[in-house]
Amino acid sequence: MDKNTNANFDEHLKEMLKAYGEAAPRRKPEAEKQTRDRFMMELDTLHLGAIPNPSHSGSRSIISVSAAGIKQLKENLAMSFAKRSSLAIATMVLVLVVFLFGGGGITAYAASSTLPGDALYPVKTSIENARAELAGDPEARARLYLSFAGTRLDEIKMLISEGNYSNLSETVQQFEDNIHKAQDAIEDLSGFDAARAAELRSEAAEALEQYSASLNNLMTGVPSNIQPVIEGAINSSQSEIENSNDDNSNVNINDDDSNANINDDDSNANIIDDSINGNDNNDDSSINANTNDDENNSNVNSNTNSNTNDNNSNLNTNDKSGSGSGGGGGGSDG
Amino acid sequence: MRMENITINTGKTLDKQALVDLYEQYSPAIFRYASRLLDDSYLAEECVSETFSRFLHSIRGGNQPENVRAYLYRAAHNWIIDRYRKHPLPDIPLEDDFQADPEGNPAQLVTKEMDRQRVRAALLRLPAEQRQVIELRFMEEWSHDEVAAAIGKTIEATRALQHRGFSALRQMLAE
Repeated sequence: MDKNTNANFDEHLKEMLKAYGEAAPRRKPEAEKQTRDRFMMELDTLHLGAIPNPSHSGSRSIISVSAAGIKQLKENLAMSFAKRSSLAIATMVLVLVVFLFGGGGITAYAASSTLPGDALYPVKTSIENARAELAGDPEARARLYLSFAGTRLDEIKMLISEGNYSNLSETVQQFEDNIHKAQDAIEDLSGFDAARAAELRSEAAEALEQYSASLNNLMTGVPSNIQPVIEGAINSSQSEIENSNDDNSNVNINDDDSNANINDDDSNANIIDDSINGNDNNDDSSINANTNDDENNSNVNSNTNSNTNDNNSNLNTNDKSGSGSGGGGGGSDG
Repeated sequence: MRMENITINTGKTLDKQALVDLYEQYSPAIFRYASRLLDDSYLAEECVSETFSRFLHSIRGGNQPENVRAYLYRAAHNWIIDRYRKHPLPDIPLEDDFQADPEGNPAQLVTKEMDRQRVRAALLRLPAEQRQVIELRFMEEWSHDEVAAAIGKTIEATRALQHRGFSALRQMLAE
């Protein structure tokens, strides 16, 4: 493209961008009203707690508790954007009931040792969720979710020892979910305190190692049709360990190749079926592209990649030991 | 652009009306921003909701963002990133599948829609920060100062992001 054409195209591109911006999906009035109502509701909660009150701790817990309850409500409302779920509504009601009784006292105590399938089990999980909501600090939240995962694991052990397999896969699902939430909280933390996040990440990795070892021990005691469920849980905790993205060394498991992406201070892991790596090492993910800005990067890939690297020194190698080049061979033991 | 100065004193009375005003003022813009990137009005609505929720949450803690607008855009941006992490898009093809039919009928509309999809696909291939700068500079038409404040970088960094983003788009969309 010559310079003129370039300039013309640039103008055209700017127009395209502008047109794109103007043609964005329009806001639906009912949805807009719902969002506004939700905001006003949360605002009311704030407002309520801010009324002058001599006993500050009292008023704060009211704010926190009702705010957390509102948040739970809000999440359930968000769910019902997509689908009306009577389960969601039931959960909402239950959470409200829990908060009416302050989340403490006899109900909570009775619920604390329940197992999935027991009548009071939902109370136990609602209280857990509320505690997590109340934790403002992502580190505290991460620790809570990790401990909840541990509780799920205990429940899994109990269920297996009782031979009660009907609630097992749901509990495993929750186990995995809690791990993901812990992971999310650590990601939140890394946004404003990378050092603390890195420490937390390695602590989490240790906890997950223990969980996955426990799960391994359980494998022998379960019937063969249940084993895949437990395997799933094991894989989940292991992939979370491997998928940490800051200040950890990780490995890519592909069919034929070992790949590792080392960017910023980080190595990133991708577990993928073929050898096309999608990895974005800014603070976001993009689609099937490696993009690194102003960092030193070494990309270890053996196959198709799109790599856009600015101001970087790039090193391409093909096995864990960091030397050699060329097409992918079998993974080597670095 | 009006920067709101909220007087919030935790423990005393909140200026509720000021917060409502903020909502009224920025909710449409945040929606627009989100809907461009998500291309789905319900998701965009959810983004708005979460963004303001986070805002209220941070106020409750006693933190008052200096630049509320920048804060809101940052929060919306993070929510969108998170969303794409959990629900990655299938790869949207850029080129030939979207050739306009020259014999085309409502050719105008069709071409516009194709252009839109191509632009969206290209935008989504940009790293989030470049995309955000392109969005704010070319669609919202903010100044460099304003953009820098919104994404929390220096003006030079913002310019660099714009330059790289635009180059990348040019490469992807050149006919």
